[in-house]
Amino acid sequence: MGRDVRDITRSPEHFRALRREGLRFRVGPFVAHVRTPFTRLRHDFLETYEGFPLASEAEATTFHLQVRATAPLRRWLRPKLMADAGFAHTPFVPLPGDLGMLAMEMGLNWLVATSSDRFLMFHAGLVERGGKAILMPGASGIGKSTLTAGLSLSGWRFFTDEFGLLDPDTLAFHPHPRPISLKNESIPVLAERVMPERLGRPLHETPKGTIRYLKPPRDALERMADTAPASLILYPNYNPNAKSQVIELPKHEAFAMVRGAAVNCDRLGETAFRALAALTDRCRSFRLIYRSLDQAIRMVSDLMEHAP
Amino acid sequence: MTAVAKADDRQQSGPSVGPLSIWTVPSPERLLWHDLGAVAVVFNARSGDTHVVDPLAHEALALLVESPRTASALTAALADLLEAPEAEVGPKVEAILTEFDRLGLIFPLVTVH
Repeated sequence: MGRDVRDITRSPEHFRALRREGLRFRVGPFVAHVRTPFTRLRHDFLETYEGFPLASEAEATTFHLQVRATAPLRRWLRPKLMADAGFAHTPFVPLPGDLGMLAMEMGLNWLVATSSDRFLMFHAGLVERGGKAILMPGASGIGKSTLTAGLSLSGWRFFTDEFGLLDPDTLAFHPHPRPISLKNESIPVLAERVMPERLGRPLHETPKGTIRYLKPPRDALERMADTAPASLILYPNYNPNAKSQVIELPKHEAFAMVRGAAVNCDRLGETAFRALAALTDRCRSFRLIYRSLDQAIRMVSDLMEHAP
Repeated sequence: MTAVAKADDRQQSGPSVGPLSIWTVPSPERLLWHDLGAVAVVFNARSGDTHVVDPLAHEALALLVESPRTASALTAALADLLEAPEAEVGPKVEAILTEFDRLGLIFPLVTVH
């Protein structure tokens, strides 16, 4: 992407715009439009999304999201906020005023998950090196964000820690490099590997414990239009008390597992089935049980050496 | 995703399976197959479901796509194919038909109990 594109900055102009007309920015194949009156959230957002390219007039907006007070007085008095995507019955829960970034990220995640059916979507982390991508599906808390972040700091290009977006026609994955959501024990593990300014402030007492958002690496933002096919599918499982292991999955189990990770599989039907079958044929799939982040990074690098 | 792979574990009779039922696969062009080595997966576009099928179930469904059959005709065809006694294949075919019926993969053309 050329640098003639204007980026989000921590400028007073963008701080004001967030409250008034909102900011439209590109994140992978989507254009998001966000708006909020909350001062602290506007600071947090500009800090975390600094460097994301603003969308041009010609680009259509994919998602609209505002984070607003649950009631007029709740903007100032014991602030309580919630994401609002304009639906009559909002699916979002109210959160304390301090957790605006969480409301914003949860809102954007929900919009991606429910309205992007031109892609087969996986709940997964994704990184790429040498034109080959690794899909790492996993439930929340299994360690996929930590491993994705660790790999992105070790020579791999960061695609996403939440949504693997597969084009079912080309079988290429599209980057969706949003801030990486680090939780609880993973925060100090990553904090010692990055400059402090890359980490957002801690959000305490969220439904998932403490969360800090890690800004995506610069190259992930500059190359967010560069797609890549997957060569490996890994199911990471951090367990400091278990024996570290790499277990290859037979094809039928690999198919069942990756189908289980496909968020919109039922909506895409036949298209999803064909894409899953092709992905299972193309990629080898492994369970990865590891005791430390450094060990996992070495295991992934070894596997990639022999990937097709 | 459901498995049609452990015929021995399943009930050996169902409400629709009668000895004179002629079983057929409606809209077979809406079944998508993919071979995964030891097993195959089949996507039923009519229901939106994906099923894992073992080689015996795979052959049984392929034979029903080829032409509608009763359980005994299907047993005979499979026994011939596998070079196994019909007495051994028969109970497995009954279980497979019950499961296919439950999953909506096959319909009875004629049911006589």
